[in-house]
Amino acid sequence: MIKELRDIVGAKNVLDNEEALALYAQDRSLSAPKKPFAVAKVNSAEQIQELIAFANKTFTPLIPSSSTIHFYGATLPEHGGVVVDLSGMNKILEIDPLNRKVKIEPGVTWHQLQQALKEHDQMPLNPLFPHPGTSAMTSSLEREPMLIPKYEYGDPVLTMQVHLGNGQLFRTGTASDKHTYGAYPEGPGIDFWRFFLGAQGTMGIVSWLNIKTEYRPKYQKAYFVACDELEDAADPIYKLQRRHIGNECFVLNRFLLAQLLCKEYPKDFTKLMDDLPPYTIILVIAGAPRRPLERIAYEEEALMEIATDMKFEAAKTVGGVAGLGTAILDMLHDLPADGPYWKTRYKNSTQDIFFITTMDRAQGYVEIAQGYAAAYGLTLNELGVYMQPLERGRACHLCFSLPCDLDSEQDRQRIATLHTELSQTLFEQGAFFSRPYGTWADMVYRHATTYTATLKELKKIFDPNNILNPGKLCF
Amino acid sequence: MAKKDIRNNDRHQQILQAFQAAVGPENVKDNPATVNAYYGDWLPPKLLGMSVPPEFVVLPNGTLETQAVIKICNRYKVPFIPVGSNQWSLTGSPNRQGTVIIDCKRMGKIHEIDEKNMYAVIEPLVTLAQLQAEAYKRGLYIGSPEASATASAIAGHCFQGMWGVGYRLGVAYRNILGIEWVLPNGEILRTGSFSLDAQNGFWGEGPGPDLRGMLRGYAGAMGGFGMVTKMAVKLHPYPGPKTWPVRGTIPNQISELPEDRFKWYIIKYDSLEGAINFMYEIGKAEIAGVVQKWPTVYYIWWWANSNEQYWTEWQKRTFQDNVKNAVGVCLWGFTSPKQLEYEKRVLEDIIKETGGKPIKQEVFDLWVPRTANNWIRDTHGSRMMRPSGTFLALRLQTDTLKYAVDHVRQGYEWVEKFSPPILDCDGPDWIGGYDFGHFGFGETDFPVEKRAEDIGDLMNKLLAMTKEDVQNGLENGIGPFLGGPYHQMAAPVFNYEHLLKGIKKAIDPNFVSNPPHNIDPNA
Ligand SMILES: Cc1cc2nc3c(=O)[nH]c(=O)nc-3n(C[C@H](O)[C@H](O)[C@H](O)COP(=O)(O)OP(=O)(O)OC[C@H]3O[C@@H](n4cnc5c(N)ncnc54)[C@H](O)[C@@H]3O)c2cc1C
Repeated sequence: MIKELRDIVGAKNVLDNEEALALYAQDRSLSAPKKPFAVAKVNSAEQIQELIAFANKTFTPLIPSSSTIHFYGATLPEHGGVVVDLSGMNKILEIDPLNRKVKIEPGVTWHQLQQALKEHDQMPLNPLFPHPGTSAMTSSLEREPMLIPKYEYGDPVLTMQVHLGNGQLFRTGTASDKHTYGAYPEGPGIDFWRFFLGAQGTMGIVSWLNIKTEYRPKYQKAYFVACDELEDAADPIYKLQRRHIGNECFVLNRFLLAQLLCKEYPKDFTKLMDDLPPYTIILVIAGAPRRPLERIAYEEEALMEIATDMKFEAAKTVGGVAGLGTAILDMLHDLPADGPYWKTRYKNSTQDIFFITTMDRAQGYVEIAQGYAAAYGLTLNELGVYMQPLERGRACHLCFSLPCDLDSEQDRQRIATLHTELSQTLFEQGAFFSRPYGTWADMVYRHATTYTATLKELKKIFDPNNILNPGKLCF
Repeated sequence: MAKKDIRNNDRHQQILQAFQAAVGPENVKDNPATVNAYYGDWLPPKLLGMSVPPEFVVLPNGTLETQAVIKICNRYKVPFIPVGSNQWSLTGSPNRQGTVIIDCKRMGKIHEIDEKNMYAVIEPLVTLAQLQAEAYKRGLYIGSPEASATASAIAGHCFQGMWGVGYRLGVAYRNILGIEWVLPNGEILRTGSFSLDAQNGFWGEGPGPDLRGMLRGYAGAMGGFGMVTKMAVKLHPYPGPKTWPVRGTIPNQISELPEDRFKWYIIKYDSLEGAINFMYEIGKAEIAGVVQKWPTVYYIWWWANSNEQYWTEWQKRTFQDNVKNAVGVCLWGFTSPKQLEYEKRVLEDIIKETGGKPIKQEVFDLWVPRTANNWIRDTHGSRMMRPSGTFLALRLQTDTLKYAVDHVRQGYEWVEKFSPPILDCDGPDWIGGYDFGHFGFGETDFPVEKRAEDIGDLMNKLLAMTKEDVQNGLENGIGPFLGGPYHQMAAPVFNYEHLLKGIKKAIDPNFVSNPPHNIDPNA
């Protein structure tokens, strides 16, 4: 088998030594290690096609992997097999400023994309300060929430080229018609592209993706609203979003904001934890390409009017932190190429629980999370809370971050149990786990019976031998 | 010789009794007066003898009764068609003997309007106009449907969904949230957040891969994938009044929206390229609520109160000479009146830079008060029928705006080639952008005499053109509106045959959901 793999991707691109395999056998989640049989580093669509043919012939699982870091166990081989490492396919194939889109390969990171788009006055629609190793493609396909909720749309996906488990090379939307620019998700047939989103690589391996880009503002101002409780943030955000005010808009609690801002740990962190309010709304008001300052002015005026009406203060900083606005804007517009991940300043990993809900229900979930965290010995100051309004505030992505020391077996066990129990309770209370990773999959699919049965029927068509990332979702 | 009455047949009686047991005897119809009303209207199928009356019309109430009806169809292997208001008669009329129409007349509830989180949960009979009116009351909006306002909102979301304000509020495929849906095999599928909580449809995606993909496409599943009985749809922020303002009586009604929040411009260019460049610049500037490059025929279709007025004005060339290559823009002050003032300044900069000129004031005054605001209220596509009783289109491509221009140009050539029977229409180039111009469509609509021989002739020409397009690997966007026969032809070319047939077979093993739509898995 190794020989066949070498024939496909070249000898140097097949890893099968213990040391290398051990690296792919675990990630930053608490999932038990699962070793692949080999790793194949691919660098072309043709190689992906050949690997799929090989896998179907030999019934070998293929686990697509594009990022160089993973947090949710999605690339761990449940049933062995070959990890298809796509991180080397990292070209930006086309930047189309006129239609505001970009065509990327799997290994392109958010930093790389952001830098490349800069010279065209464009920016990608990235999630919250992603890890430098995160693939922009995977992140978009997996529906990581965009930081800017002002659009009616919540994901930037347009069209893609995807290699199905059944060996078919498929293009979605208008990309299946060679005359077009591949700009429209709906194309011949039905909305096939929907089946590849949130699929954790189980329905196909995507070798390029067209996503939307947006204008990169030259002028912007950051505003901050201090809140004692998350529920105090919900009403102002409902109002701001309804009135179309601002670009980036999100809420971080003290623990996450302190990690984000701290330069020197623990010195800065401790001070920030003392100074910052429990929750902060971060709102960026940005100029458009034309008359940017005039746009900022009317949005600012509306913000102040709402603040007065609703009795909150929209300020240039919170907790007296000097230079907060500049710091946030710099970070937003220059995502780091490397270096430590901000969410792991306090402990070396973060075990996140995230789901979709509405902002008016978010406080209830926070109270549940706080109760569980306390029961497992996490103080209020150790539980991360991030609320991302989606699509003008009609819903939100709510994320709890549980810090965990991966080197301590005791901490791993404690956080693993907390993670499982808290997830289960949140689920029972109506939290919608739209991206069911790891153990969430069982929790979710056991309840969604017809949905699950129908997905399984589709899977048989797209990947009849279940070679693509078997053991994930309900497959 | 008297025609044999199928109703005396044993099998008919058995099926009738099964339906009556499921939904109550008063909700099953098989009398000629009723069934004859269900096979085609403005589109050619009836005219061309392509469709037949159904054998039954069944009116279930709610998901469970619909499920019972669909299970009976499977038991007896009889085809069924779900219909909303049945405007799209090409795929909503039977072309198989023995078909059952599942009419949604008893499913007209608005289950919920969540004002804060901006969505409504509706049943299939709820019309676009009804939902729009309820949304206004709450400072919200559904987008202006370009189908008739009396069409079913669920069918409108499933079927096409090119909204008049798609530029700002997106395409219908994204306005669908949770769905409750009886699959062709009789199983009840709930998608999005409904999948885990049947009372809570606020979110559309997942869990995991998104099965909403089965319901939509350029022209949706065409009733070929079962029947949606409940759907949560997005509502959007709206800075207009709580009730739609009108003066005068129909057809001379005039609507005025608050001047501090809305402003119309109609700007003319020397070329189509100039007009599209203007649209791109507006999109890049992220301003405006409506941006439409209407063809000349649209101005007069939407304006004329009668067929006579239409042709009189056409002869005078009021619109042909004034609105060619014009773009209609409506600025909306979502944030405040100051937003509107800002957008006016930006738009005027763009007009100056791109060399646009406002259309003549008298034409603006003639058109805007009576017609323009319809593009915000309901658009009312049926006005397209005024000049001839029907209309057709031969290109409807969606990709980039640039692509739209190239393809409406090809559309002109075809229109020229097929005139007559296509009536005079002055280059029918309708172009609109979605999502601030990230992508857009070009459509060539034209009037045609509603006479069987003319339409028959034209349909054959259009089919030949579509075949040619498909052979050239070109998706012309009109083909999908023909449903099954088109997919049969296009699926191998665009590489989706295996997938579509596989899905159809998996969820419709007896091939009962509106055959041959959206594809015949056994062909
Ligand atoms: C003159 C005219 C202009 C138009 N212009 C536009 C336009 O500009 N933009 C646009 O978006 N649309 C346009 N349309 C198309 C329009 O969207 C549809 O005709 C209309 O929305 C369908 O609503 P309906 O209730 O009449 O559906 P029907 O005709 O009843 O149904 C349409 C299809 O959907 C299926 N269907 C209906 N209800 C259900 C259900 N509950 N579950 C599953 N399947 C179902 C039917 O089987 C059928 O195949 C236009 C139509 C006309 C007649």
